[in-house]
Amino acid sequence: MTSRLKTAPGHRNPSLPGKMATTDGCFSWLTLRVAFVSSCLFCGNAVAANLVPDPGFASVSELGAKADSNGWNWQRIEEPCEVRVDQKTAALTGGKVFLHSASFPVDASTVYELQVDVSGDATFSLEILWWRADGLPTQSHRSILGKPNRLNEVTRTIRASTRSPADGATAYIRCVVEEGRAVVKSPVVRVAGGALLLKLDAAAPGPQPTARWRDLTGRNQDLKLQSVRHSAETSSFVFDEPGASCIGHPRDAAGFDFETDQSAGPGQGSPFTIVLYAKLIGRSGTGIINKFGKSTKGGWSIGLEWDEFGLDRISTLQTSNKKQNRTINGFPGLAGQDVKLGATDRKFHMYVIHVTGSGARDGTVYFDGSDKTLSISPWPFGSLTSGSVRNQGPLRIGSLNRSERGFRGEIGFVEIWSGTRLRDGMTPAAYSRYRFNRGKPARARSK
Amino acid sequence: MAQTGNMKLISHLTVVVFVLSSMARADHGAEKSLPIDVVRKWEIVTGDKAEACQKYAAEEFQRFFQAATKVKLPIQQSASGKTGNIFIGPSDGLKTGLLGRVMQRKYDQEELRIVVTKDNVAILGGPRGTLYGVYTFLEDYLGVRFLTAEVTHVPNVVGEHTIPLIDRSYKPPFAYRFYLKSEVMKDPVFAVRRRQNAASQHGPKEQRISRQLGGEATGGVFLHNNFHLSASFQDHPEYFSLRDGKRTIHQPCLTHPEVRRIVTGQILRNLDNYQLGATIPLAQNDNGNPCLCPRCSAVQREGDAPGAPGISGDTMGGAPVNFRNGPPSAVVIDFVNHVAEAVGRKRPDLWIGTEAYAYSVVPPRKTKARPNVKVQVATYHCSVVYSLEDSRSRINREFTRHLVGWRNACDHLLIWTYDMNPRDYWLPFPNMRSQPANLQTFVKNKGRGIFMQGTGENTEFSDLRAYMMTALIWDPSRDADELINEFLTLYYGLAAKPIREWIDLVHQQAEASGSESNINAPARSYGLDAALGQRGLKLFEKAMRLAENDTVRQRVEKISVTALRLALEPVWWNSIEAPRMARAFKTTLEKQRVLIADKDLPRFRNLARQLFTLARKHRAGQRQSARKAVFSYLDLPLETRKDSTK
Repeated sequence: MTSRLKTAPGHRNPSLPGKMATTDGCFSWLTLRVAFVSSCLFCGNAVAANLVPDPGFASVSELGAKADSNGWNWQRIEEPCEVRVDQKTAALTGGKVFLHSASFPVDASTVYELQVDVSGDATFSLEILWWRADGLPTQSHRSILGKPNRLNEVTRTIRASTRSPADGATAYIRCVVEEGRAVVKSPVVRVAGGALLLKLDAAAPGPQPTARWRDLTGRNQDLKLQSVRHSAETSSFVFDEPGASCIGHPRDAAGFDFETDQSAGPGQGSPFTIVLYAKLIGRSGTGIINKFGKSTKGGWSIGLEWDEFGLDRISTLQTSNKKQNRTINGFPGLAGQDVKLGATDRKFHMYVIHVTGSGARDGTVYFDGSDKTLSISPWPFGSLTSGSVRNQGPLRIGSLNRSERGFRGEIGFVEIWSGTRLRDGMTPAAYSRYRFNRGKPARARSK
Repeated sequence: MAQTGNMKLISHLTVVVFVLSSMARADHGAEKSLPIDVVRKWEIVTGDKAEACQKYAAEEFQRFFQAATKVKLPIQQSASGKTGNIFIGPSDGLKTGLLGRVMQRKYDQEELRIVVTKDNVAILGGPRGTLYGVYTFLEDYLGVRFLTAEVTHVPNVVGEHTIPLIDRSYKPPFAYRFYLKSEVMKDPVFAVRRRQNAASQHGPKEQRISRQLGGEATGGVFLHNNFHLSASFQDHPEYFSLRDGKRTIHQPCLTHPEVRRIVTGQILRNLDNYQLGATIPLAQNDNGNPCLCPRCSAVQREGDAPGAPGISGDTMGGAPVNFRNGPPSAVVIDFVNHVAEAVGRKRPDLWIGTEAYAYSVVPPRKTKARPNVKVQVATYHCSVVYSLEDSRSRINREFTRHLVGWRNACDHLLIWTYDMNPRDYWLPFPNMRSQPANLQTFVKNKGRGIFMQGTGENTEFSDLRAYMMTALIWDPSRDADELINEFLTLYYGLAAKPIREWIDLVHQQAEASGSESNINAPARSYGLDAALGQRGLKLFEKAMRLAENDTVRQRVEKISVTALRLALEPVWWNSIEAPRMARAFKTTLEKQRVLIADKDLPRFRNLARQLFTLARKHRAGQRQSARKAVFSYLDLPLETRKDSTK
């Protein structure tokens, strides 16, 4: 796995919460989650907790027969090797030496940010190693957070982000020091928060609700309406004609290109989440929200479907060429499978649809505030798409093109988030519960 | 003499006399024996719940009894009377009949029991044991000999022949028996007749021993496999051996807690894939570089303080640095025990196997293997010429000391031994005196299984070895001399005597040389030379004259390759071994080569032509590189076979 790494000169103390280890030295999932939610929701702290145990290097020793489950272990790779601790810093000298943190729990397919302050004259690199719940290495096991760099005496803050593998459950970080001395301080690993890329709410449609729908984030230009009408009464836009759609501005299109690992490389795909508040009023096809280029180009699509057999589902699709080799998933089933979602009651429902960006047949969908995902039915045929999903087409809501009978119903609001987490680092599941607000999702107000 | 199926049977009066005289030793009087004429009217009874293997055993009995007596006994599912039954395998009829007592206990998988009374015969045992019981009966009481896959000797069993009244049981000391030899493996029917119960896991399907033939024993030989560690060196150099202050990929670091966790975790995850009683092999890589990190060194010391005296004596090829803190095997066993404990909690039927080989052949001083651990001890470094307990071999004495150490450290030893010279397949291999004694040494030291690695098909004394070694693996107490004589007599007829003389000459000269060489050595290292080869050629001339027919002549000609090869020794040395030596010792070829007089070259050219012609004729391995080297040295044209498609 590879990741994005940034280095910034100058020393900076991260103001992050301290270590979160239980008294027996083992991380507890429950502890982590409670603390995490606390920090996010109740304290209003937008920065997630530091997952690295013992970031002050209180316990550092050479690895013995058992790893220190609280502290740090160093290991000799090429002698001479030495690690010393002084005032919350670890000084590593090699040869070549590894310094491993104790392992900490992680969520699967989640973007993490890492940073560490480091100075010295050695070659230094930072890695993270991922493990499955059963203690075995994950499929993509090692994320190299940038190539080894020669240090100097000025303290630098190295920052990087990476996404955990789909089977990741725990991880530890590894500082690699070669041919010299490196002083390491303040290591941090935390969940990366998501970015809200688009926020549409029919309760605050903007000044021209007959022609345009305003993006409340201010990031994008208003979406152009095509055969769509606004209903002030239900605070929704109504889609009941063929080709009814809202179309994003071409200049904003690139912001909604969500690439997959299949083309960008393991851990490099772009996870994203769509939050949708909508009502089905009749048979609906795929593509309630989509972004495609020309007919032979790739793209992605989210569908809220009601098919000719009365079955309903959320479908997700990513393809590089619109051919058989693509990722298609149905929640809770695909066409032909006798499974119902339960959204054909002509009432508004809320959907949180998370696409991992792995390009694999995965993803999650949360329905009406539930934090349990709908069951997934991956399309079993063909190989997965391997080319780029990127395209020139605009973001479209309602249908795939001008003539296609796409979604039939009403849309109350739409949010599109990038990353593996959403507001304040909430998981899609947590956001589903939070956003649904026990059946009364918060709506925007017109100024 | 009788002919069965596609088997070619040989007929020879002296042979019949030889075999019958040896098998009728128990015939002391009518009251102590069962006349064969009585048995001619009996029935074979298998029982209606007979397993496939038991039914097959009955068919084998029927087939060879008919071949020997000309009487085809009927096979019945139930006994029609209280007497006159030949019970093959356990059955209700046997249980309720006059011999019911034999079913009052359980039999081990490999165990056999033969009971002969005046009224009934019972041959039974474990599933495989019943089949082995049939073969033992056929051999010991009818004189049948399974010589090769193609040739079975079946004597004419005439009217006065009797079978002694006996009640005998036998459980082979080696529960796992695998002689890696094409002559045996190519035909599983023959392999089973030779009591082999294992086949190559990687060989062709048709060489596997089916359930009908008794199936294969589990938990056999295993190969180097990096201790099942699947982590890459790139991701985790810390998981691998620290040598000269640097991590190297040679072996895993067996004390690293994550290495233990990963290996154990992977095995536990796949436990359902292992059949009952299987062995999970955790074996080192084929090199001499164990981890010497401080953690491994501490385990190696087995509780002693740093600087305490290490082990004494030679280390059979291991670098001294490996033994500075004690035997590296202590780390191996400590690691294997860790995995075995976890596996034993979930699957107590499974074994964990590891190797005692190269640096790990020296046993731990204090560490004991868990009861579900088996150790495969390899004899690679041992002297070939002398047996393990022969006082003339310092190396073998040392190995035997290690073997005893392993016996004390582990209850279940599997022996990997060798029956070939991997560098020279045609050279006489002088181990026919030492190997039988070695097998007895293995039995004495808790050897529970044998993997004997042999050469390719048709090389050296392949047919004899296939017969002799499988017989000894089945029953190491057998007299090897008798076995050799028996095979030579039955297979080569009158030519047997000079062949036996040749075998003896080779072994006498090797023993007289004081050779301590292991299996991988040139002729001179075993004290074998061209002069001996010349004597061999004369003996083979004699053998060819004595051969009664063309079939026997072909057989004799095939093994004459051994003498031809040795007679060519100076040329072989100069063209094949000397370049190797020059490379190994970084000297010139001239310094390694021996002097060959010009006047001898025509003779050697003739020998070389004969050797490679015969080798090709008898498909004794395609030694193209050797032929090229020898022919080039002798300035012989390297004519190639014409392409038949042109």
